Amino acid sequence: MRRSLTLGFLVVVLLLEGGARLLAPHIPGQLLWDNQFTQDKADQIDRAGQVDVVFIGSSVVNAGIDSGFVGEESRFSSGYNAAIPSTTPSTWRVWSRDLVWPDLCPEVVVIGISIRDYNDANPGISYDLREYLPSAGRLGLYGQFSWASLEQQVGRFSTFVRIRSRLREPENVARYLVWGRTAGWPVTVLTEEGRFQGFDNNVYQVPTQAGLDQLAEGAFVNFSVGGMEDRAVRAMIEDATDLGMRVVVVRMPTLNEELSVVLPDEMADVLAFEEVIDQLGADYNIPILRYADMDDDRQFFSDLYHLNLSGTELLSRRLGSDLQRLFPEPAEHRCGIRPEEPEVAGLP
Amino acid sequence: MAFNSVQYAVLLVVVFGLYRLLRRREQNLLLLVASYVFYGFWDWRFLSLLWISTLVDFAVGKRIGSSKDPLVRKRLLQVSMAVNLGILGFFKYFGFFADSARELLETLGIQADFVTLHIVLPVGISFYTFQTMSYTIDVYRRELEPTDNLLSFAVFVAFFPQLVAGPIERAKRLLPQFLADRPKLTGADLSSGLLLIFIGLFKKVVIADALAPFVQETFETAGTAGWMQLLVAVYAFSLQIYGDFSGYSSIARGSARLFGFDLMVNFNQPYLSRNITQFWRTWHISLSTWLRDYLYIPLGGSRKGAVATQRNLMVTMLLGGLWHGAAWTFVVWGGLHGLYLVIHRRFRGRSERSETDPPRWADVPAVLLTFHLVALSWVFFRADSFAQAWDVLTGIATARHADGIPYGGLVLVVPAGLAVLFVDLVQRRTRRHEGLLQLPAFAQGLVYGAFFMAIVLFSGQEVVPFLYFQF
Repeated sequence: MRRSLTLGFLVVVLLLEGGARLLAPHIPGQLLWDNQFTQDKADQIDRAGQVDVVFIGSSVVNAGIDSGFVGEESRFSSGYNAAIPSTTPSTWRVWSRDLVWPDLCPEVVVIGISIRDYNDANPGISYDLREYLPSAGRLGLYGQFSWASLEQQVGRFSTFVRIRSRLREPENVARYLVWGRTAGWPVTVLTEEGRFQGFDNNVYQVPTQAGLDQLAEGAFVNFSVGGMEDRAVRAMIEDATDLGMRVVVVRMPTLNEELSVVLPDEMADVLAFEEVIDQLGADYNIPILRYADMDDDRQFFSDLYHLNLSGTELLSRRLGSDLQRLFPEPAEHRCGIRPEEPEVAGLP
Repeated sequence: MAFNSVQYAVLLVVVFGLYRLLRRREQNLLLLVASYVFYGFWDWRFLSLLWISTLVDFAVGKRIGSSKDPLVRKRLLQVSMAVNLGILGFFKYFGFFADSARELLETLGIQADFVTLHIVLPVGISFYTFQTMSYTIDVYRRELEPTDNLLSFAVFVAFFPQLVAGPIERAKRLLPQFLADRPKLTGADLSSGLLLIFIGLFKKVVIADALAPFVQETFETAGTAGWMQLLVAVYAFSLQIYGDFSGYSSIARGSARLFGFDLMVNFNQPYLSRNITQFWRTWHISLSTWLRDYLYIPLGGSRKGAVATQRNLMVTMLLGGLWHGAAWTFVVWGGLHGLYLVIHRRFRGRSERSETDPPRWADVPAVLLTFHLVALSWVFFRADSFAQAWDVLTGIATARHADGIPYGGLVLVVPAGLAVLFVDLVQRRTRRHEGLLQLPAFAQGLVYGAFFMAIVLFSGQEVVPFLYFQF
């Protein structure tokens, strides 16, 4: 009786484990970070080692700065685009302490800021952080428990356990096996230096009213600057300069005239943002770079604030020249040491 | 502390280990402490409400039992009702009635300026309040002798396996079990208890929690989702709530059995019902029988003619709806079921077959019709508002555009539905909730293997609270 029962149990377990082992090489691995982009970036950073320069920001920077072009115009031959899409400075600050300073150890840090990133009333801020902070990949950096880290341990013995987060989405498994991609699963459009290429071939289209409404009610709702996002950037600058890293802030180009339509106080909001950026330069004595002649020139844009490939190349080359001019000689700096605890004071 | 959490597993193992070493009185004390720890995990402050209910009903029960004066007995019962329903009313319904009154006055053009209180709903309050009230009512009716044993009574009120989501036990059934010595734990008790926990975990983790995100996403976008997605989401929620609640009851019964207690069956394969009356005899049985014994029958039941019977059914189901939650959507849900019951009562024929007889092929149309009527009512139960419920129903009824077949939902709903059907059919045919134990050993192994791997597959995600905790 007991032997038959055990046999039946083992038949199912072994069949499913065998199936998982057959399937595993054909689907992406376990997701440890809050989304696939962060996962891919964390994997790339793990491989990258030390670099000369890093670029931090949101998707605006992730698409808009190419370290290859920067390297061609400067002595900064190795660079990594550590910007993560759909985030704001509150997340960048934690991310940079978690991985960028300790693992990439750059001599120069370029913080690219777009007006899209700086709205303190953006409802996406807390969402981004809520998703990011408890992610297994992050907790694992600090030796804290998560189910995913347990999965990794057990996954050494059981492929079924290791890939179970993927198996929970059988529709995506099927789509991925057939088409090699599916919504939310890796769509490899990152260069090895971390740049997102998804906007490269886009030609600017005037946004629809519905699209503008979505922006007005989303990232730009109740627009206000000078609060927690600004404090997060300031904290990040202080973190980097404490380590002897050199910091540059780039005010990323945007289509201001069209963008002002979605801002509550229109151009007054744009000017308020510019003042806050200038204040950063004044307070920390760091260069603020603007490429204002690219503003409002649609040929360089994919949408209101993401550059296409021609915009990216132009911006990156000019940035490379400026970095070379600003920092012709290398300087001593220290690599960041990951804080002992994952909690970061002052988070919203 | 949810049943599907590591904390509960630790609590269960620790208490079980200590329990076997103790004698009855110490066992009860251990269970009481464990129950308060279990409840205090949510919010220790609300333990005071539990203590108030316990002490009031214990004292009132004793006084009723010792009094011969009908008027005194009645006054004492009223004290108990006032305290219990007062606590329930304040914590669960104050905000609802205040908001409803304000809205009503505002529609009449009167600006009402009520005090707004943000009252936190104590978890499980509806369950333990009804359970302890049943004790006092039964003592008042002389159907139960009051107990002198405060410790046993306190454990009866707070017994952790069924404290926050039932079954709502009757004192005359459960209290004597606390007063008596525990039966020796046999191998059969252990295996059936563990099997019930295992089946409950499967239903909760694999059926309910796996379907929950799809249901939530679809209901949140009910205004724009296509009809096929909405329809699949309604089926999914029907399975989710069944998996969630019957899973909880199964874990509760299994856990209690490990300590030598027999909790009542709360779900008896309700989706195999051939009509709505059978459905209510097999769905949340502890509540439906409570409402029958303490509300429907005192109202007159079916003894006062057809019209009164229909009124009593409607009143019972409307209040039953309101018991589930302080929202008009729950009232509509109860009203729909009341209507179903009234219509069924009007047209039903006489059947020789019990609601627990195994279904035949000829029953399939009736089973499907009953299931769909119930599923329709779930729309109001699940929706956050009437507008959302309306969006779901009109989306389906008008065959609103479909963006294609919702494979993402179907690949979850179809296996979940088949798994539920399999478990229910086995239980119905064997007439035992532990019916899987009667399968051939190899088949049992296959089933346990499949359940185990499914639990491994879906466990460890964010712990989804049991739906019925909110009631």
